[in-house]
Amino acid sequence: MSLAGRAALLLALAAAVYAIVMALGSMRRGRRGWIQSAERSVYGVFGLVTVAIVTLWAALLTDNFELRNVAEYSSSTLGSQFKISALWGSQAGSLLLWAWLFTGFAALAVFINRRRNRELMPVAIAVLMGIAIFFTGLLSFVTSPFETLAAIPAEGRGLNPLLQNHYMVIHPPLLYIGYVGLSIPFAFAIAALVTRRLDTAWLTAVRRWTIMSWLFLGAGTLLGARWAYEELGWGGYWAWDPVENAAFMPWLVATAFLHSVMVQERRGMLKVWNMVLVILTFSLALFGTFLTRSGIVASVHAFGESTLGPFFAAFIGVVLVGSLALLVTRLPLLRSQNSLESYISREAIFLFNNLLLVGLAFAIFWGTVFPIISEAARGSRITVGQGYYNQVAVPIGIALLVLTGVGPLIPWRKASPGELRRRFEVPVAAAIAGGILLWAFTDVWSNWAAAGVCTAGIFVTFCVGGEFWRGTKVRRALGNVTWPGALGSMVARNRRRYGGYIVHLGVVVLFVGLAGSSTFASEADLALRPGQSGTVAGYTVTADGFERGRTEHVATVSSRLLITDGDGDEVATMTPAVNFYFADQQRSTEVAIDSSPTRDIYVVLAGLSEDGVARVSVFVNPLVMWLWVAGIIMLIGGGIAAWPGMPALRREPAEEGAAEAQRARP
Amino acid sequence: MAMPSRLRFILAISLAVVLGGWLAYTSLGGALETYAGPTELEAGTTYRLNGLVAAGAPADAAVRAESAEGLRFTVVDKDDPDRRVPVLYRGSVPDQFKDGREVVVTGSMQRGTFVAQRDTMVTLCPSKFSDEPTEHTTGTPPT
Repeated sequence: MSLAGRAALLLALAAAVYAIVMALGSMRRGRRGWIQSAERSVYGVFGLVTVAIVTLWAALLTDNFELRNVAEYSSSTLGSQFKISALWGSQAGSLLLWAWLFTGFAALAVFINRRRNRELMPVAIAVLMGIAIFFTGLLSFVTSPFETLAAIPAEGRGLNPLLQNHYMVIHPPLLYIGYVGLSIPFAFAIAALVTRRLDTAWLTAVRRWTIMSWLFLGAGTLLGARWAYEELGWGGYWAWDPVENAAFMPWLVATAFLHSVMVQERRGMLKVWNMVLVILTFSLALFGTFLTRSGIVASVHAFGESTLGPFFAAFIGVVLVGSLALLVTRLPLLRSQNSLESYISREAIFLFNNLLLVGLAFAIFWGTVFPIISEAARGSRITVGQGYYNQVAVPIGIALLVLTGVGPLIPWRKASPGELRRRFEVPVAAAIAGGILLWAFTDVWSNWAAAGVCTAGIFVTFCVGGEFWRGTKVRRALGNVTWPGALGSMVARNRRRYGGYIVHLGVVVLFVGLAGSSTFASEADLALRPGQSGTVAGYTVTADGFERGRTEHVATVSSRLLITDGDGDEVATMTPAVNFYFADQQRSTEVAIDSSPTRDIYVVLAGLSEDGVARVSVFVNPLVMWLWVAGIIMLIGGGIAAWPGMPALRREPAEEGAAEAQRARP
Repeated sequence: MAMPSRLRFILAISLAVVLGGWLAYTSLGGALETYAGPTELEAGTTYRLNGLVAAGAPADAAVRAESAEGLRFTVVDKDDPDRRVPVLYRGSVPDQFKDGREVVVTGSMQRGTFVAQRDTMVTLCPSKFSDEPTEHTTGTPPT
């Protein structure tokens, strides 16, 4: 089995080299036919890596403990779905997953473009296969997933209990799909630079790839946050850990690119900037993998192996230096076709949004690598606390939130003062009224950031909601359709635009959830005998009893807690527990969460002493549920924007023209 | 409102510089913590102490850390087992905490003991188990 896996990876490496030779060779006169051979080898590389990953999955499912990665990350008692996910429990296995998803995407990109972008494809294939060589090379010569053990153990060590839950089955593949998808835009950007075909063809080819990767990266990050929230038992979901940042940074830069690309399409500006963003996004995706795998900065996720660090650092260096050097040689071809006419225009708003997003990404990068820099400069590893990140991210975040409302309402090129007043009078009035109501009836204003988020959120909701309202009105006026019919057909015909607006609404919900849960959370640590009670944020927690259980594999203690609100009404019965797995001497806390739209009650059992005193930490986290709701809204919006369907996209400018004309004459 | 492109360029650059300067300022003015092993600790400085949990850590660590007395354990240097420091900790204890695990706690030295701030304990994710002994033992639950 080991042999089959290793052979498949080596053959994949050879096929990737062959594909590069044939693809680049096909650019010479009279050798056009070679490209077909190159394309087939790309499919072949994917096939071979598939053989490798299926081999490893088969080994995991059949408990083949001869393989180190099976013996150390799986056991015969593990459920089948965790045997499958144990593949990415190990370093070599997760690299194999990376390589498999990547070669699959490369094959898909080649297939989609088999009749399109023919001039770009040879170089794009060469870049993609270059990346494939890096990963299959690592898997063949540095960290093989098919390493065998001299002595075959009778039983495996099992998967870390923290990883035995459904989020860990789905979260890493989602993140990887996001990371990997970002390499396709990179390959096309390099192909455009090399071939000097710097019109918008390459942008059209990569736009949907970017949206899709952006979606997966975002969904993966949010699921990771949810996993941390439900499994780790510290009451929070985000801690600016280097590995969290690793996924967040490329996501931010990809967000910037998704916006600035529109400026290039519409106005022929920001061409160099867009190239820089694509290169940066891909480099950050690699950097993310590097951070996770090298252990260069201490992180809860630091996987404690440094063998891969130098390889990744070198590869990132090659990618960054090579592509930026190439970009510099092509600068004369990337001149702007237009100049900025006004600072109050759609393109200027996109420019601000880009500066903020990239600035935030840079700030996070700075904080993440600060320990390395300080060690080099001053000899001691100094780390920035969470305070630093919050200090930077909160104001930038609120500014970005305001822009999600301003951007869609500002016309391209130039806005007249009268136009601005007409478009913004309702949202501004709503925000002021909302702010006053919040001040009168809630204590949101005790925290300026939370108040800013709420007021800005109302503003954005009215801005974006107004866009939906006006667009639907125009469509209804065009023919006899119902209101929902008009709304539906409007969204269907301008998927990218209205999908984007739905994402903006999701962002509002996300910010409200973030503001509520980060600024108004309460916590209390209670030691309760049966019958005793304590209070947290107006809720009374009463210990109702406890239970101890024991099976062959696991010992469990749990405490039953009765939660009542201020009026004495029962809210929930919660049973937080602690499991202790004998096999690997591993403790596992089972958090109890009672979710509602206004707040989560989150209870962690630290333990139960011999005399029956339960020590529990009780958190009341407002509005957490809205984070996950926001994720779903953004997923829907992004899905609508990315959904295939070229005719609708072609019609977009005309539709927009009609809507703008209507707005000009209200 | 057309602006010459050079002016725009200067404006963008100065904006970036201001932003960068502000970042540098906030990061240096903010709460900085120095990574340290068990021997490099001076009183009065906040450190992120990094090392391994010495053998003999209490099995009911999570319960003790929530009690008034707090959780006491010893951190040893990753490379030199003779360098060690006693630690007093209160707050939530990650499930991964046990003998031999790599931990990070934030705090400062007070009369020979490293007193950690509440809820600052982080254990490094042990997705790699191979540095541990392989035999499986059965133990008693800690609670």
